[in-house]
Amino acid sequence: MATPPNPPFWRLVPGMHRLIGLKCKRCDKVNFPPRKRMICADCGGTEFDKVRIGKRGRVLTYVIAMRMPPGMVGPAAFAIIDTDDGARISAWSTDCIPEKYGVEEGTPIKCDMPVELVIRVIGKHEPTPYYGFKFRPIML
Amino acid sequence: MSVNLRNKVAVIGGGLIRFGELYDKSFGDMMSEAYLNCLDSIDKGIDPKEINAAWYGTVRGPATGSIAGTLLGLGGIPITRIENACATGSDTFRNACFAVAAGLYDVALVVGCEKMLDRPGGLIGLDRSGPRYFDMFALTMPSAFGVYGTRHMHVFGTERKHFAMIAVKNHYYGKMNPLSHFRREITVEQVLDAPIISWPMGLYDCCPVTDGAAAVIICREELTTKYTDSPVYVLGSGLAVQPTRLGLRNDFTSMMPAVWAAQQAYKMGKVGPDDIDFAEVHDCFTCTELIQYEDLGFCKKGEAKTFVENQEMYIGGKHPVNVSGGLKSHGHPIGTTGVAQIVELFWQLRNEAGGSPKGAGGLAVSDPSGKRQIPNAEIGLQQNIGGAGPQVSCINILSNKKR
Repeated sequence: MATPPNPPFWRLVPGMHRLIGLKCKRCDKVNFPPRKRMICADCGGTEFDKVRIGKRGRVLTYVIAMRMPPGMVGPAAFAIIDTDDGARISAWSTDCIPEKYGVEEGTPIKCDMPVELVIRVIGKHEPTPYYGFKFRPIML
Repeated sequence: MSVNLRNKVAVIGGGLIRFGELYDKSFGDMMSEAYLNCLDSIDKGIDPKEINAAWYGTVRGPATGSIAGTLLGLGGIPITRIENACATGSDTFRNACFAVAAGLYDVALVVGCEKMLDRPGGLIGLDRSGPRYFDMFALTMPSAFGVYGTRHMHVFGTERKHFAMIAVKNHYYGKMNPLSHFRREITVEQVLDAPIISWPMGLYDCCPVTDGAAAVIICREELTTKYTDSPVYVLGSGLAVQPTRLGLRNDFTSMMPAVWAAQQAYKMGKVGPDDIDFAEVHDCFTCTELIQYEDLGFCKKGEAKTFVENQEMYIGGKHPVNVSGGLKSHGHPIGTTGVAQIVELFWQLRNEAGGSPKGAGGLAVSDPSGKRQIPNAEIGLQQNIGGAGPQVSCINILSNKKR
């Protein structure tokens, strides 16, 4: 990417650290990640309210990828998450052992399980690490 | 719509090469071979100068229509390169049909070609292309499609064994097809024991990385008798997209682009799911094919697992699917696949899939049993779906009779 690999560049991206979504004024859909000239993916609307997407939600569906690219630790679960405030995002897992997979009782990752989003390193824009959100089962 | 495609365009020839790891053939070698096979397949013969226009489909092959012109000796005519992820082959065919149906061209060539093995690793590198937001980074195809499998299992009680039965079926038929990439049978146990790629998708739930090429020639329906007495008519076509970003999608137990494309194609063709005698469906992953049984209307929502348990997708069942071997066994050279499915439909609808049709370049397309030929096939459907998971889908419906 022909952009400066320094921390402020990444910190200022609204769709990374700040979890800002754009809620469509016409149909209420939360479009994420936001863009400067956003058009609603569902209805084509062009007017939005900025919303801070909540960090708690439930797993809608997931997969468990057994191998990850260099720089990321595998196995990891990839999930589509419906947040408690009505947004839908996807994220990778952290802080759990996803390879104990299955739909039987007692496995760490299941559809409908409650999860929370936490800030983690996603990758490196040499030499700068950049951060984003991963999800983990809510520890109670 | 004020103009309909139905019955206006006919497929008069189809050519295919053997799919596989074709290290001994270049991109150009494969494309030329498929094209020459296609010319041979025209029953009453054709002069290449009669081709008025061409559409060239490839996802990762060299860009511009002039590549096809160079490789196939087709100078001076309009050639357009089409790309639409895994729907490329079908969409290339669809666009050629528009032009011929509109009466702009009499005869058109559709060619698809993909050399996947020149880049070791297949599509893996794509997982790190594009904007590096945290949500889609490192997302591979097995993951992007697998999420649909997981949700389907959760809501409808589908199990991995149902996915496995689909891989078994496609290998069962692929073994009978000398053009297939893989030609051996597998068992449900082997599929379930295979290494996991992206749960619930294991190694044998995923289609291979394949090289291949295919070509088809179409003409306006008034002109078919010059070329053949058994043309195959295009009844309907559909295409639909949904957002790339998985978080923007609304449904994870259906692959909505296929549902929408099917609605369009059925409406245009004035047919319904019950009229479809057989189908070539895009089983990039076993969960994709299973969900397509519902999306295409072959069974009700949620009942795919019963459809599979009752073997309704075998010849003899309600809707035979992928008796070519499908993507899983026959192979998936991305831009070629849709065109190859049209060729399979062409052979099946002309009752040639049990033997050695001319478009196969001297090879038989079935083992001596001939069991791959579907008896009394009249209407066939082919479907592609792909992108970041099921992002774009294209469907074409063909028949050996005008309807």
